[in-house]
Amino acid sequence: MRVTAAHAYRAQLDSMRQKAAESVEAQRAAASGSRIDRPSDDPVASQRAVLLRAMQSDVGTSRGKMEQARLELGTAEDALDGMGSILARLRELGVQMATALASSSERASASAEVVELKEALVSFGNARHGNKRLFAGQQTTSSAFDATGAYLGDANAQSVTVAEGATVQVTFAGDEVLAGAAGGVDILQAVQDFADALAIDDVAGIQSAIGDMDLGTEHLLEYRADIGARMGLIESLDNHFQMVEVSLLADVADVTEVDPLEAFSEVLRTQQAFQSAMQVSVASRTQSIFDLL
Amino acid sequence: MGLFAILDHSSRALQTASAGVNVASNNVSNANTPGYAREILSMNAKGSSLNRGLLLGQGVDPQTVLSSYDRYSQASVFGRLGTQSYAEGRSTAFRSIETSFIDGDAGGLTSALDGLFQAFSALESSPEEPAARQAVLAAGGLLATLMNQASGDLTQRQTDADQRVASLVTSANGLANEIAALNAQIAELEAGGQGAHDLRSRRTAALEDLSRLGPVTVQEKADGTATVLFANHSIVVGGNARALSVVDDPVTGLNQVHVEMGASSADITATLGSGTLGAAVAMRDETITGLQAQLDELAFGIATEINALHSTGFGLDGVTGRDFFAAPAAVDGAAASLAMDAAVLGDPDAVAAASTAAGAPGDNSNATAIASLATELTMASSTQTFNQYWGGVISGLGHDAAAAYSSFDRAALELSAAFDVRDSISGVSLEEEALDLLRFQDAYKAATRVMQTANEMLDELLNLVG
Repeated sequence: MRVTAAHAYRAQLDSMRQKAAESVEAQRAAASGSRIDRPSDDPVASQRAVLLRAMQSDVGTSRGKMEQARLELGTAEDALDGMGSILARLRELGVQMATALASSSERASASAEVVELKEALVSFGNARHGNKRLFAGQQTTSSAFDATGAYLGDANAQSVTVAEGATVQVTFAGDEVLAGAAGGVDILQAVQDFADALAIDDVAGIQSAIGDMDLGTEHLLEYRADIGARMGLIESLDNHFQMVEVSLLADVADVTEVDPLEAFSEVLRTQQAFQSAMQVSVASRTQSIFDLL
Repeated sequence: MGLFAILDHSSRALQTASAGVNVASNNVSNANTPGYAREILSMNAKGSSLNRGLLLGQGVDPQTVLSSYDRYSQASVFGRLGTQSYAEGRSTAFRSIETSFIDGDAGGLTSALDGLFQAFSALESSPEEPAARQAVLAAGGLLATLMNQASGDLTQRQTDADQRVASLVTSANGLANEIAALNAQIAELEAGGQGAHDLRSRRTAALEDLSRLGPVTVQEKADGTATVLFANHSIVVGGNARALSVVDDPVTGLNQVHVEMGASSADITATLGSGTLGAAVAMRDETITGLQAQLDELAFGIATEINALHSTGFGLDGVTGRDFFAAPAAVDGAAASLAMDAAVLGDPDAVAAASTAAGAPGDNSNATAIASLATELTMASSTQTFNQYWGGVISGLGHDAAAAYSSFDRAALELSAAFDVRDSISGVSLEEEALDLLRFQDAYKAATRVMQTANEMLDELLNLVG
């Protein structure tokens, strides 16, 4: 084939354009660290990146919800622990006041303490995490109990989906916990009855209260056991999600990021190729038959 | 044969060598001129005459200057120019469109889509928190804004492409008129026996420019004129050009390309499968329209699915029946019009996280249901989630763009090959011209020497006489 001036020019221009484009792309990839600048760079990876990022986002949100649930359940457990301590003190008072050695004035004094302890129980029943009342069912923004111990919440509970198919209850119907609404002892009423029995020297009532305090303690322990089980579920899910998060991070990096070593090698390679193309162009221009005429 | 005949030969040889240098010089000068075909000096031996029983030659006779123009290889260039320009037009448009869909970590529709469902998911944990409700409204507003922007961006690109169609039609008309005028001049000169190589070169260059705009077929006539078909409709015949025009489509309002045919006109828009004009039409009517439709589908799906649940739920104020997004009237235009419903805009309490009217602030069941839409198969005839659908849109765009870039690279190579073939026949090789210069310079020197020799011989004779 005859080689013409235009042919030679086009070949050099095409070569330099291609090398320049490759060099710029290699520099972009190395500078940004990203393998995908636009969907066409790798359409399949682009689609995968969308889904992986959505999964990352899901996992991040789930872990956030687990953390919040853990804190809320932790607060509820602390409140139940406090209630349990109060019931222990009430039982102790009952044992002391049930004997014939206890005087009426001592019982009256104990009655006053029991009333105060009931108020403390109500206070624990109004426990909250942030603005969320934990023992008001779904009436989470208002007190679960009034000062008299009357329940103000509802019979529902708030549950949170912490992972697909995994739901954790984070609030409780306080009347079930402290007022026996779902069976079991009505703790607040039992405490009130205990205070009343002390006030009137009703030894039988005091002895009955001891049994109620035992039942109440067992009742609260059931809730604490439930919370423990939920915390355990959250713990194991969170451990799993932590691994998933790390794995997703690696997957996203695999799909979207360049290997720095490879990227910088590519920058050097394409730069050298571009320089070579330019040198060849200049060199070919220095060889003209007209110089020899 | 006498000495004067030799002097005559030498004179013609000098003229021929001089013409040869002139042709080579012209070729060198036009080595980079678009459309220029190498000129070749045609020479013939002048013939012989019988002189005292000897058949003696009569020297050289410069016949004419020929053009090495090759219509077949040039026709291939016209075709490849159309293909390459079409691919380049699409490639450039895709590069621009792709930037609208770059997402990554910098945010964008992908993040906003995730963000909305994550906000509902977070609301599930804290339905009583105003901040969580506000976050849902903010995420919905952001998604609506980005949908509006993406749709507006596509609409703007469609408008740009439409305006480009009108502008390119004007360019095509200018070139058709130029070709017609050149046709007339070429026919007139060649009918008078004169060469019109320079005009033919200019016409070739104009035809190449026209080929870059759309599908061009050139039929060369015996009178030297070229009949030009544009999308299979003649727009140049002899010295006359037919105008292309743009006519608003009655439905879309977009420019349709017509060829005037007397009192009527023919719509050639659908047959513009080549050149930058074809690329502008294809991007405007297919690619951008397709992306816009997918974006609308997604916006419509999100709005209707979320609204269906949200409107059955209850706000913190116990009110139900409120949409989250303003209900889109139709799929078409859903992305452009996506907006928060006025009933919830700026009112966090109106976010229907609850599914009962009990006014329970801790009721999160509706928020749970809405958040779970993220993983439900709600799109593409219930076969894809929102994210899968969007990922498919991104991937489809990437595939189309990659194919367009690949087509452009391939078309550029094919055009380069077509140019190489044409130039191998009709292009200027500087080395050849340099050698021609030497050849004709040598011939000129030799003819001068012959003339000098003949002159000396003549002097010898004259001295004998004197």
